[in-house]
Amino acid sequence: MSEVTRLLRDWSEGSIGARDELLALVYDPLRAIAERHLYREREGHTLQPTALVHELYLKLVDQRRVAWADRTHFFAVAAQVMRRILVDHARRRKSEKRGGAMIPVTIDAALDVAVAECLDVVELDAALEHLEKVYPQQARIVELRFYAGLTIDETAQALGISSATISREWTMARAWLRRAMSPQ
Amino acid sequence: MTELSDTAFWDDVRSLFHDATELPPAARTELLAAADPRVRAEVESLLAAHDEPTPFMEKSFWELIDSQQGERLAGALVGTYRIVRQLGHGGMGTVFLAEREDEFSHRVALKLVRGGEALVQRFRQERQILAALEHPNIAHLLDGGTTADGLPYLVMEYVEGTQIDAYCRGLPLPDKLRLFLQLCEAVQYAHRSLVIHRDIKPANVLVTAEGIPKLLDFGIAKLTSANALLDMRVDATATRLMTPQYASPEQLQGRAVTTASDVYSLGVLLFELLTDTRPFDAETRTPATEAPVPSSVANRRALRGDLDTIVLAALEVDPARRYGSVENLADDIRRYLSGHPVRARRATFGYRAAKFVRRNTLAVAAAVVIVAVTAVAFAATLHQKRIAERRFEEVRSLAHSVVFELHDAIAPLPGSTPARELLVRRALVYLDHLAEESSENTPLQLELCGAYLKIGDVQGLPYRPNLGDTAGATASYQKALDIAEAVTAREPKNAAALALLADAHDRSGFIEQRALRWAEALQQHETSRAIREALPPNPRRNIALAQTWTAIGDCRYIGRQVIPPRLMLGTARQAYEESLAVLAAQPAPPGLRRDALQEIGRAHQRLGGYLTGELENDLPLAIRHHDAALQALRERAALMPSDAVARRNLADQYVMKATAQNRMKDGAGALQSTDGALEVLRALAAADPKNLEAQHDLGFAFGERGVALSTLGRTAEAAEAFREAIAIADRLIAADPSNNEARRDLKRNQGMLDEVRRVKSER
Repeated sequence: MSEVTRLLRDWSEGSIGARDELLALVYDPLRAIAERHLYREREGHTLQPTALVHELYLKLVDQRRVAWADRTHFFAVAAQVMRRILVDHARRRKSEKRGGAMIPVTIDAALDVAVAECLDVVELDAALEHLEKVYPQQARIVELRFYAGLTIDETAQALGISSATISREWTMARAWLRRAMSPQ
Repeated sequence: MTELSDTAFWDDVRSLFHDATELPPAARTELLAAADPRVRAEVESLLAAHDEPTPFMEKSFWELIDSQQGERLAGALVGTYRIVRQLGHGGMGTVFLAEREDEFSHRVALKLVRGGEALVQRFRQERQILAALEHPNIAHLLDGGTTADGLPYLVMEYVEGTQIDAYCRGLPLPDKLRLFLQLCEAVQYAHRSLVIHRDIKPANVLVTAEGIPKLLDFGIAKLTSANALLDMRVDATATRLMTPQYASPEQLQGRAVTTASDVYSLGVLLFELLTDTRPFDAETRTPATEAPVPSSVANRRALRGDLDTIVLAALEVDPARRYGSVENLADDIRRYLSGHPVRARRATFGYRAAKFVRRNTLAVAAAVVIVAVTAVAFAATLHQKRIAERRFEEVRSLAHSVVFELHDAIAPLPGSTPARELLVRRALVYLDHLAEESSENTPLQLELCGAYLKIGDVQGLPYRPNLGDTAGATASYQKALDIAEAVTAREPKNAAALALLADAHDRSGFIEQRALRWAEALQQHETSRAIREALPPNPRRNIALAQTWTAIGDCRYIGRQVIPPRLMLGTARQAYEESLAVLAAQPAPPGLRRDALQEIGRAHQRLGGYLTGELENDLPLAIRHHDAALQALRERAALMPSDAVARRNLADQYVMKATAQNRMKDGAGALQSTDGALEVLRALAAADPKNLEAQHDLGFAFGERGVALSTLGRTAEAAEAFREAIAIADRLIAADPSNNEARRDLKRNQGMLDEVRRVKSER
């Protein structure tokens, strides 16, 4: 049984420690795959985070041993990892001075772009943490939608909630985050 | 702000927010007015954020990365071009508006292409050809190269214009057709230069302010293999790709792309320009999907007739039936515009008529039905075969797991008999299914053979914890024997198969022994011995051979009065001594120590028993062998403290020694030995009351105890011991009427009890 499989199972049985271990374990592979997807092996199609997570999943998890419930757990982990990758990057970059304009070939450069885009990732992370305390489910939805790139339907499937509910909670979560992030 | 932990409050906020957002902003006032002021204040502030017009988190983080990367590149130098701004973002990469570093007025479209090494190489090969394409309706490829980071880029004529579908909307029909004709000329020109576009679609046709259509990205599809169809074949499961609405059926199938593919894509484009509708639903389209009749889709009378014919002739699924060239397509459009009959009509009518006739001919129809049925049946068979194969593997692994892992794991545990009973029933069902499907598959057959042996052991292998189902065990061993014989007949030198064949013979022999059919038993063991002796020796095989020798000795000794002399190839003592000699020839490695100890103990025990018997009544030597056996079996039981079988063997040995001691009239020694046996056996029988072997041994021990006690003159206690032994034999016979050994014990103990009573009454 792969390490990831074991951790997924432990986590689905309630071990938070297993989840944290999983997050750490999945960080680097996910980053590597994301990087490759961004600039190396993508002949012509737009980035599909779902495909990316699937690839990671296939790579790390012994599928025969993992139940579907664990699989949706995996998506949740991947979303959290992406969130962490993004925030880590942004924190690191905040203190660094960037060089001249380059063609982005690394995920760091690509992340710069996303970070530069109207959204302050560190701020978003803080707002999300706050939201999590009030509406944990909404925070999960944001992770899956924004960081893992899941559609409404995929999010619904991953969380076992109806698409209609996901859609409503997603709307409210965005309102919450927007309020939290808009200059007072 | 209210406490985060005030869940009731936040629940109210949530439901009010949801209710409010279902209403238009103007209609919310009433709803909000009715709410608790704290809740209302919170919801209002959320609603204010919600109602902001600018987009917020509309795209996922990934989409942001993908679509916005170009924004940061403004001012960056790519080759000799400086990026001005991002123009668009598409499947193949990102397109920027750029200008020559030294010549600011010269604006170009710079396409930063995604792709690896292979692309760069192909790009170099084709760039010359593409650069040579010079046509007023083709956006000219100006330059290209790779960035410092190794990303290929293309520099093309910058076209400012409107996408052709948007441009054509509302345009008079003849104008649309004339515009389309210019496009055809461009494609025709490229085809003459042996360049196929491969990706003709509205997004690649821009119409300038002067009304000149320009075809973009000629041949780029080939360079970047952005051909969605190819991609779709490669990783259809992982990635949802752009909809292949304009691709030809042959492209959809991943077959060779020819100029006819461009004809097809032009047909789709024409369809769309004429009807403002795409002919295909991307979700349901297959390579065989036929285009609908344009006039029926658009409900436009003007399209009926010639234009329908032209579009459908371009959209024929079979490339051979399509317009042979873009020129032919363009010709027919010109004929239509000038009021001449189009050429496509006759051929198409004839084709359609023929199709109609074929469709209505009974014979042809029947043939079609047969083909269809065959195809469906074939597909179904394939499907079922796949299911069967999968199921087969599942069953195989399950049976394997049940028989080899689960059973072995629980077998040594006292009290595991009912669980093993269930396992056996299940496993047999699976095994029988597997056996039906396993012919000629040697590894599987050997696995099955081993599995049947195991199952038989669990059902009723004598001298091991078993379920007392001798008939079931016999059947299972026979199945194992049949399989092993089939494999060895096919592969006479397959050592694994031969070892299994010998195992199967030995097991059958044990069953015969238990039924007191000594001649049959001996024959089975002798067969096994012959097979084993022919195999190159190794410690494991030696242990198996020693076991076989001991079994032969048992038959020769106990069955000596019923076995025909021609089957007696030696004495029992010789057989036992062979067993010890084989074991002594090669020391067992630590992993096999337990098994070796078992056989050493067994051989000594049998020798002890033999020497106690009437043939060679050498009791002192017998006791020495019994002690040697006790020593081996004690060591073994200590090696595996939780193993019931090891303890049973030890108890068995105590009884054997007691028998010898009784023979020597050493009543005290015998009593001590039976005490040792009973101590072990009572614990075993208590832990697993259904374990019939433990019961059997217990009966045997009581019998010897009775003898010891009567030797010592304690007749009342002796009678009690015999009564215990008789009760046990009764129970064993009730459980398994074919247990002749229990019947024999019953008879013997009954006799002993009568004897004790007589002695007692004589006193």
